[in-house]
Amino acid sequence: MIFPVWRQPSLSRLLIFTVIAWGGFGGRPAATQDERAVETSENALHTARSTSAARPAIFDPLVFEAQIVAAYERVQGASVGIRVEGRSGSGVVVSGDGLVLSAGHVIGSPGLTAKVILPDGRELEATTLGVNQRRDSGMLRIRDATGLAFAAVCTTGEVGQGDWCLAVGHPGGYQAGRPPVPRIGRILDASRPVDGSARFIHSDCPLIGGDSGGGLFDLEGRLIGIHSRIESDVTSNYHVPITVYLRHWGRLLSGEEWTRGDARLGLFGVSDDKLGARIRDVFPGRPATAAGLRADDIITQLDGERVRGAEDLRMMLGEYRPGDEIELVVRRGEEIVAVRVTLAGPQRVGSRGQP
Amino acid sequence: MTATLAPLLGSFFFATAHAFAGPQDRSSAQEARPDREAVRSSVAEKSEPGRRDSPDVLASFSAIVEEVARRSTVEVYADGRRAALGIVVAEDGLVVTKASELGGASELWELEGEIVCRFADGQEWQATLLNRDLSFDLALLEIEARDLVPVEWETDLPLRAGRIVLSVGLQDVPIAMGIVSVAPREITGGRARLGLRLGTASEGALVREVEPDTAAAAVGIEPGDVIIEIGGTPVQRMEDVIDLIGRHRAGEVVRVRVRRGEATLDFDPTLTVRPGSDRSSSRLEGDRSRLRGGFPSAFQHDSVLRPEDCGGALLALHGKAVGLNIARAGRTASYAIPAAEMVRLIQELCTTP
Repeated sequence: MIFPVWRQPSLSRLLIFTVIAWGGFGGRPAATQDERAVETSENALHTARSTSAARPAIFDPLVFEAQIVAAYERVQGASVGIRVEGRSGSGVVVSGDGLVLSAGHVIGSPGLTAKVILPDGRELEATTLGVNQRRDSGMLRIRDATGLAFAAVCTTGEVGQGDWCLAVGHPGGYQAGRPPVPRIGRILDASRPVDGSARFIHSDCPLIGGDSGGGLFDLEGRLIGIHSRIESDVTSNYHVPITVYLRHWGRLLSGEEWTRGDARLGLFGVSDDKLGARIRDVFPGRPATAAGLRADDIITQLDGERVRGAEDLRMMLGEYRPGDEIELVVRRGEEIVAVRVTLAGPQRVGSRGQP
Repeated sequence: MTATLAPLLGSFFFATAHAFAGPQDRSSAQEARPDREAVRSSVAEKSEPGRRDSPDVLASFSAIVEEVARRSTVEVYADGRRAALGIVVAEDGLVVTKASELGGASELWELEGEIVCRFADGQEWQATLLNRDLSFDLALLEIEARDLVPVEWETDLPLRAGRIVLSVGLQDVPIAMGIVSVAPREITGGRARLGLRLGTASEGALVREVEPDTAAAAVGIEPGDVIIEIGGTPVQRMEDVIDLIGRHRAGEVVRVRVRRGEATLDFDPTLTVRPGSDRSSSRLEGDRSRLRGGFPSAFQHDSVLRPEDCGGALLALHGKAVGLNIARAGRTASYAIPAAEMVRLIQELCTTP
């Protein structure tokens, strides 16, 4: 059984949460959304060094320790406590002007007033922005903030099984006088499906209630995931991959709340392949055809996330709306091609259930 | 999803930020206490490849721990049960361990049966309990072995977050690897209680109810009694009782003077621990020590220990002991007494009766 990692002061709150999780979409003008996304990408997503994060299991203990201490020092100031409507969780500041990433179930819904508690105890007012309910991801902005400590985001989302990672957060909720609490662990699975609906990073960094929304970092201190849920096995913990945030950055920034989209590629049949999802055929006049996709192409990646079969492709497309542009990596015979596709809505009679 | 969520969130309401010491956890932990053979196989299970505590990871620290494991560490058995680990602190047979793990199922510190210390080479020594420090939950044991190698304490190394710590058992690899999560601080919780519901009286505190199976019930304090003195200090108001009792550690005996009608009676209850959090929460927390709070100073680390792994040494990478594992507190936390405190406490345990 898998449980979200947060603290909730009363049962009635839970019922409210599960109801509002199904709330409507908040539309925003696309231009503004893009402007803000660009502004943020300069500020928050400062490009990470490209050295490999993967560590062999046999290592020099002194080097290993120095990496952990340095990584923690880099991210400590950005690891905040969050209080929203009685929920108590954690978050990660990713820009000096106060953009904070957290779990969707900590944020709740857009437009709420939240309290962000910095590691030094300062309490700042914040407003919740977008929430991707299906992927348990959300964003908030600290009001009138400048010059805050913030963590680097791993823009490639590079995570490998066996990599060492550092979980930081506020287990049990923020406690005055106790700095953010680091824990070490390894990636058990970089992309593990949970409840058949979404993929999470699976690690053995132990988490508990209150950690939700806190950051999972590589040993260079780059943010690779956000704490989401746990299983009863102490070493079984789940984090939302940072790629989920990166893919939907603009929507989160614009304060949108969504559970699923109904975007389509216009494929006529997809089957599992060991490399990804194999296209049986494409509908004429639909996005896939327009982008030049063909029968027998194998879709291996969608916006940087690996596609592991037909069901996976459906699951991932379910996060997008018609009109969204995505990038696919496609294997065509011996060739590998990257294709940009503007998604459409479900259209034809008979295309029901087709991606 | 909602169905699995509801009980969990309800339980979080009870699981406050502080550690609870829960006697009712005890019964299940007691039954689940593995014997010597089972201990070995369970260690093997958690050590799948690719994990933080997998054999290849632990093996890379073996040179650091093997000396302390072989010569300065013991497994402590209480009445045949593998209760804790212990550390050799003097050549002439002195060992420290976690005191509350030596007790029987019903009483934290009441010994049941004999205590045996077992070294890595298989030698077993019957031990005598010499002294205890209830606030740090330490016990000083004596065995007849001589020319032992005491552990070397490192008191100058700053216990900063991220520093690697290795928990030592009898094997030549660490039983767990972790990092310092929080520098030394006071760990609250684990405080004593009498087991009363109180009301106001004109002078003193009125006993409205006596909870069954508590210290107060055991000595015969009754509803209607008025508490007028605790440990020699006069009680004026209900709050005084809570304050005075709260200063004590579970396991201590405190004189309670009450007025019953015209009579004045003295009772000497042995204080018990506060009940812990509910079961579903402890299922997520994993197996925890019975007594896991109320330490005047301890640092937190993230090593995944079992309750019976407490009492042993925690080494830094240079091979010296930076602490003694004193509690498995929950899913994310183990506590250790810092080396500087240990040096002082060992001195006290050896010199004060």
